[in-house]
Amino acid sequence: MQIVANIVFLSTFYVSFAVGLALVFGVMRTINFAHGEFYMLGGYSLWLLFGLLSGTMPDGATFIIALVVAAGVVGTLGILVQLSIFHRLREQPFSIFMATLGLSYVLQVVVVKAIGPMGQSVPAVFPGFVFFEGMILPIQRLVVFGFTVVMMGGLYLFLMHTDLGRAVRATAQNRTGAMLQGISMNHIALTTMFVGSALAALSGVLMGSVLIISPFMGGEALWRAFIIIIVGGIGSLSGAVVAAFLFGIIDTLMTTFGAGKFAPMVDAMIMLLVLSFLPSGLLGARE
Amino acid sequence: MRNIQGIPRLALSAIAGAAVLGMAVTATTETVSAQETLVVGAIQPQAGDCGQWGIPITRGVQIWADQLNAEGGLLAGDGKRYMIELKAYDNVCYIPGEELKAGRRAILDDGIKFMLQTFTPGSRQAIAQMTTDNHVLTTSYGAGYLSGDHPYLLGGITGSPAAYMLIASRALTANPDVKRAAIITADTSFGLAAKAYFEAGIAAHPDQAEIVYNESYSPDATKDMLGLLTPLMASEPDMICQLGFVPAQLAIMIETVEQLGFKGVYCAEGFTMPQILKRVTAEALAGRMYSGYAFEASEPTFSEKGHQLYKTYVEEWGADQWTPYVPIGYAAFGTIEAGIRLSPSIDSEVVMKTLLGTESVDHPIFGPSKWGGEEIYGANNHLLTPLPIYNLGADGNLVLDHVVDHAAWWAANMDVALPILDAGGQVYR
Amino acid sequence: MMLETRDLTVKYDLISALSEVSISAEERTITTIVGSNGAGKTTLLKTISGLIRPASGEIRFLGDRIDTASPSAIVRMGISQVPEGRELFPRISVYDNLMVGAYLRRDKKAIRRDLEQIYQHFPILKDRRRQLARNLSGGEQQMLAFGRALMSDPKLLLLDEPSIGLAPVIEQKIMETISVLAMEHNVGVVLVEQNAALALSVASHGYVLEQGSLVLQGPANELIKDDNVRAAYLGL
Repeated sequence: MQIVANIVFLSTFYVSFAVGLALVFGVMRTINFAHGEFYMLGGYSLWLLFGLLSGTMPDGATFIIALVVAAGVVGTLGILVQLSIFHRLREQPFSIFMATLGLSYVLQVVVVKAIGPMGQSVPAVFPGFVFFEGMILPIQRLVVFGFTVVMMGGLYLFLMHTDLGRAVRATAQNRTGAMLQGISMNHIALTTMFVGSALAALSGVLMGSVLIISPFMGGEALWRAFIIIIVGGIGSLSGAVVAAFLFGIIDTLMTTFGAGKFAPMVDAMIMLLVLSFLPSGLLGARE
Repeated sequence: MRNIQGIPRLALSAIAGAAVLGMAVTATTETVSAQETLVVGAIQPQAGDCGQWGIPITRGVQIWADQLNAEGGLLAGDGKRYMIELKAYDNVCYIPGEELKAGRRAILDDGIKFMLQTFTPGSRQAIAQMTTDNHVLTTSYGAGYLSGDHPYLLGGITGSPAAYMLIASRALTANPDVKRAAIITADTSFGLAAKAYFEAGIAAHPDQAEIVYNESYSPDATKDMLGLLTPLMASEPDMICQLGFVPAQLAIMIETVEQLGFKGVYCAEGFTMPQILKRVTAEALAGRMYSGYAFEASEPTFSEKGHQLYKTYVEEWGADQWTPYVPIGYAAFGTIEAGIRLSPSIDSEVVMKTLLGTESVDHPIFGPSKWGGEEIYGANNHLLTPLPIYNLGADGNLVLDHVVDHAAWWAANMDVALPILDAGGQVYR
Repeated sequence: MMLETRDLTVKYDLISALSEVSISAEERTITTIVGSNGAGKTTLLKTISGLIRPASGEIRFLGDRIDTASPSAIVRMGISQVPEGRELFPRISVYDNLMVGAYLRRDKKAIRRDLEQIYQHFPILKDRRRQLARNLSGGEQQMLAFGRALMSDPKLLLLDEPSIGLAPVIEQKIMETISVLAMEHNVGVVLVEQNAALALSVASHGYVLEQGSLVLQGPANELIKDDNVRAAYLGL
């Protein structure tokens, strides 16, 4: 039963990280290589606010403040990236690739210089365990799980039940069609980058409360997220969720049965198989 | 050179490339330039998760160079003083292939003759032939791999992996009631070395303790600490010996097993206390944490000179950036320092022969130490420096618990330990 | 005059796609532009909608210059297009497609009323409102494209080849609907068609475009009798 709990925890992490990248890619057809560093900045927001506010208010309140601050700050950073990189370099995918890759290095170095290369961890805001049906469930993990579900629910409501969200989905499916309905591409791009970057930051705060916060935490997460959105179907959020669970299951089982070191290789092979036989991914558009 | 740390690999390559161009102009067969500067190298991860080890280690070496330079340079056996300049080379994460690339840049491109590398056996083997062919005296914070065919590879201090054996043994000696030992290590080259040495150290106490858990994990699995630790705790250990977690992970591991009710002792190469004490109180852990690697510079009594390293580091980088890894490269370069002081020439071949020909090397931190390693490596190229072992005081500071005489311990326990190291693939003779 | 282009020239790279095209369109009227494939008809509509910038000339809508306005501003002013190939949003529902058409509007009551009207015109869209747009038949998709364009409550409707790929019976039905819509909704219609006979049969005024230039214009019932038009476009 512990395996089930571990699968759920790992999969929700994959979901929370990958979904922002999938959203940005789906709408803008460009990859933000600094997405991993946006996630890292979310982690450091939590760490810094803990250092700043610890003792002045309950840790739970600090945790909530960190979520709000990280989403706002990093979302704004996403808007700046849209204005300074994506908009100026549109139609030049290679330049965008180099520019965002450069930004990811810059952000890493800035954090190394300002804070240090050492990984940090934040004390559990909600310490302790729940023992249930033979499972050991750390309360902090349950809280993170709960917040991830709320975050995904919020994204779902935004995309499915608001005019702006509907316009974002329409733009992802057909830019020309969207422009002819009076949807401003700049407006959608800014919205998407804000939401996608804020999601990365929220994921960083949530996972920063259970994992190590380090300047380099974004790199590996980004690689995993690529595999997830490719297998899920580029641009498909539901595909990303399905693929996140698929890899959550595979990675957890392989770790549990002592083959964890082969997990990255197996994951990459699955990606290659999907690319060969289902080029549009599990739930991707087949146009 | 200080700001080289943390610059990503691309930038480092660019710097290395620029250095090559610079070398091309002034290249001579001599290592020493007209300014009497000695360029030394350190191959360590400079980014990524392993940068959490590599960057503090590199910073420690830089402070070693700064201290010597502040004295007007290292006074060599040839009567001259040499300013030390450090160049860092990234090996990504102690990966043998990357070690080889970094070694090529250091040795073939930059003409480095004295350098530091990891003890990781695979990485040492990767560049062994290159160090021999190019006469590059290569120290490390431990032995890991040595060979009579490769006399330029030195085990600069007791260090890794020998220390693991001595720590586990010391923890058992100091805690006669500990009976059930758990070993958890990374499944990397250095992790597998640690596993064998922990086993050997525990095997030296056959009447006291048994190993109840002994598993390697993939570093990728550390995302889910709980999945990793539940089977370990199910074996009901009263000692946990660990290697491979980065400092913050180790803090989470300790917090997790404490919450799951662990009351026994920990053994590890080092504990990054600023991280751990954020999660668990010093009172709860006092007296239960055994560690030793080179020396713990935050502890003032073992070495006054070494404690200066701590003060300098904390002044520059902050107390919460301190880790037990800072002193290890510093201490390993101390062996080369001792060799250069003794040698009539700073030619690396002469330094190597002088150093290995000296029966008792006066190490700047550990004092007189003898060579050993024959039984494991087939060559007496490992300087068996005394190993200070630390425990945690109730005030949260590390305190000196005991200094192990490595050579004496080995003489007493070799018969039991050697077959276990052999079975673990750690004997290279 | 509702819509007027004056000496409109559009270039792709250096090649002229339109040269000095001047047309006008009135409200409650269907104005058609006929011409063979590649004559520049689609380019003209895209330029009016702001998707392509003209090299020279001007476009006025209700007296205001719109040739430098953004596509979004042009929709806001009341010009809506049913583009060539329909450009629907394939993986969202029929209802959502229609509601995207009303993206710029905030008058919720009026939006509901217009939606009901569109459902009355095209009952099949109401029946299938929860289905994904890509699961509709070609004729249904064309209805959806109309409906979506009408959801912006336009003053002027630009229609690019609405009959293409449809069976003749449905073609006829679409044209009738266009006539009714122009009258009922009080909108002006600019209808671009390759099927000149069909277009000229419903339009009141027509232009003939050849290789980017206007070659003929006049009342539709006169053009349909013109010998050149009959020879070139009606196959008679």
